[in-house]
Amino acid sequence: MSASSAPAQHNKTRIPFYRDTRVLAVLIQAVFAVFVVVFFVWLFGNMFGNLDTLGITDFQQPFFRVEQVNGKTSLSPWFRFLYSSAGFDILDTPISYTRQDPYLRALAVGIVNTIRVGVIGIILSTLLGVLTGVARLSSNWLLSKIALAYIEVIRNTPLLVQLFFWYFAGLLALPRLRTGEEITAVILPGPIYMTNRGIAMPWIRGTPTTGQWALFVVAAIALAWLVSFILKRQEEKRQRSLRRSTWTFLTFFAVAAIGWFVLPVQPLRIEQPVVADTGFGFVGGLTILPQLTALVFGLVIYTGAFIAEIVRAGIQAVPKGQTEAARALGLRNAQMLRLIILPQALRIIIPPMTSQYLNLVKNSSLATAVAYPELFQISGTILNQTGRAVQVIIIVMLSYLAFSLIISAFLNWYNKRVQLVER
Amino acid sequence: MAATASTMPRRDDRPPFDFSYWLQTNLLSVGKIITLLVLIALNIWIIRTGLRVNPLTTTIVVVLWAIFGGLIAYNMVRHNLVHGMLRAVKVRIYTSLHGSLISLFLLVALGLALYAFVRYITFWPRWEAVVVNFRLLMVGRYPRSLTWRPVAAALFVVVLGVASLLTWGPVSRRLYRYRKVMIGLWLASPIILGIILYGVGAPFDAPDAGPLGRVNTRLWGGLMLTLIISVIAIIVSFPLGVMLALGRQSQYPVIKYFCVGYIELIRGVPLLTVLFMAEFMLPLFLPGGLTVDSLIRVITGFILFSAAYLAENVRGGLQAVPRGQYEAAYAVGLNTYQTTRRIILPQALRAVIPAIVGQFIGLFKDTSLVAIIGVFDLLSIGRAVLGQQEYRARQAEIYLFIGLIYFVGASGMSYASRRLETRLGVGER
Repeated sequence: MSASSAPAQHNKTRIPFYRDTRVLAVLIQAVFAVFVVVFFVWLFGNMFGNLDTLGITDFQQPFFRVEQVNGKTSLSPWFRFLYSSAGFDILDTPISYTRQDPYLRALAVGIVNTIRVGVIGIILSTLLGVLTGVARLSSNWLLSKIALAYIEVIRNTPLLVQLFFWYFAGLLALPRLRTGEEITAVILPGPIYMTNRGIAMPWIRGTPTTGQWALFVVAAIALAWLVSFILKRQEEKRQRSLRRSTWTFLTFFAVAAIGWFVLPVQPLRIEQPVVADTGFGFVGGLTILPQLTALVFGLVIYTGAFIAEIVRAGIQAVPKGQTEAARALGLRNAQMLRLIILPQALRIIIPPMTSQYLNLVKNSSLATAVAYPELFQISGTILNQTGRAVQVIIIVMLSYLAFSLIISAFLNWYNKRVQLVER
Repeated sequence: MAATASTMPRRDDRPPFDFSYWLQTNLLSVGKIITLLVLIALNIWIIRTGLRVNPLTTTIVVVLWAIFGGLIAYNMVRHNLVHGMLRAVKVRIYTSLHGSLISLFLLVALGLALYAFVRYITFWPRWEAVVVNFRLLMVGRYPRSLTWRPVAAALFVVVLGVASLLTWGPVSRRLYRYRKVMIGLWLASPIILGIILYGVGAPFDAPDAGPLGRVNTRLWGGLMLTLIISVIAIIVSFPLGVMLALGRQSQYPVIKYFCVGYIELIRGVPLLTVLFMAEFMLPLFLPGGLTVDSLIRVITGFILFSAAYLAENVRGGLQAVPRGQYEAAYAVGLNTYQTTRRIILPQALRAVIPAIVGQFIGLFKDTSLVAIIGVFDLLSIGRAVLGQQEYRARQAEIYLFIGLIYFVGASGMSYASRRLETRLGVGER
């Protein structure tokens, strides 16, 4: 006992403290932490000093203090400026906003606009990317080369240059709605009017019976779900296909259609844009601002090219044996793609796709170049008006971080669902 | 002659063309008939449009398509075989009934687009805006009498680039020993470029004195500024990114979570916010009275941003190095620094070259964002040119020219990366 512990004791005493990894670990981390803390204290000390000289005294006050500003309750004097009246107009306001509203409301408008651009952009760029990625692998040489050219050109030029191009050389170069009495806009079938003030197109509008029809649609979904549930049990019981998806869709459409025709007034109608009597703009339909069009179009074209490459790589990563096995079973091309290739490619595609979606949302901050009022552009205006650089940049960064976290949390959850459960 | 005949497929041995099989595979399903009708409608629409817009090209394309299609169809029906050049055309363009119609649509569209494009770019007067302002687009408002300095800087970078390619290239193994010199030169290049372009040795009160008088960075601009920002940001962010990646893998939690926090924070926000922070908050963070050149602020923003992304790429490489490599290195008595420097990093970095180059291409493209915060890079100068009354209508030309420059730069980098990959044998060893 003593013989075996003696050499260990002996060894232990001979290690000097500066070679003992346990001591070193603590030491290194302590030095690092002290360095970081000192560095940040220095930075923020400078910042507070500089802000004092600039006459911004927000940070001399406590962070938490409940006050009444313009009839609103402000929790922190640091962010009190958000409650003063903004005093600027916003081009595109999906939620109600006037120039008397506080900065906070303007920020909310910006956040809603960013979410809107992000959602539309993600959906459209996924569609474009998947189509182009599949076209890239087409046996048709022309189709594949055209897809390649699109991908290479778009991926190798900056998004900002593309946005400027679409906006200034594309949308603003469109003709005016009318020159004198004559209508000079480009009119596509629909009718879709393309003018330098925006694109007007027919749009779906509700009627007094829309609410009642919505009840029918809810009922249709419930019934379709029931049919799907029953058929699934039956299919499992009888071990053969009863065309579950067909019957589910049929049920849904049948109930929705009954509602459509039973109601006295058609629940939805298509509204055509009509040139306004004043000669400026349109009445009815949907008019999309050139700023929004350029931004969404640019983002979709750009992100679509990246998604196409991801989709191509994902499909190519599915082993060739899978294709051959599918052919041996006698599946058609479309069936093979839908049932064999895409589900397996999806597992490879989702992680890089997540980062593309994040990029799209982050790139939407370039809207400031085409003056579309999303979060970044509105924050820039607020920064210029109030001079509160620190607070505004913190708010913007936290907002984008929140967007990123939400998107990646959602896609990570989805990723977990589609990944193979390995034994 | 006889030999060729015997190697060619014998037409007579082929089974005859099976028309019912062809119908089955090409036409006999509801989906196929519907797509066929859609394709026919699309083709009628585009050919009618084409005949209205540009009858000559459209006719040529359609006739050529019909001749080749006819020849292939004849050969298939007659001999059930197409060979030679015709076969090459068949497998690429006339893949199936539907494929042929898709090709027709694309060919007509492509013919119209190419004709319009060629006419567009060969109408020279429209490029006047680019030609007249070429110098401005290249070097900004850099003094005209000192043009030799940007040229010298460009030459320096080009020569260094070519020399590096040679040193890593297949020319001669004896050049390999200069690799360290090359790396040293690249690391020193921000300073060398600074000396050439900004100047050195001029006294404070006489900026023009001496052979290298001072040229304020406010006068820098155009492609030169774009390249300076990219080159310096790339060179400085690389070691920083590697250190962040190593820090993220560190066994010490304090260091690890500091690096994780930094990387995730930067990756979660748009580049524009980082640039805004560098532009508006950096001056606040420095001691009162100390001002930093706007260009340096911008470059700092790019370095901070790029390092975080680079760290993630390098981390991928570090994770790909097998554990056995660490164990073997420790077993032969290397310490942590030696293991990292000699064993782990070379393997990790080699594995992620494509990702790193992709990241640098992204950085090069992202330099265009400085146009938003008012630094006169290529794009910003282009916008300034468009601000002149006489060039206001030349939006497309200026942006196309700028896009072309970026395209050449980015494609060049990705070409060089593919070469480097084959040279280093990525994916082989």
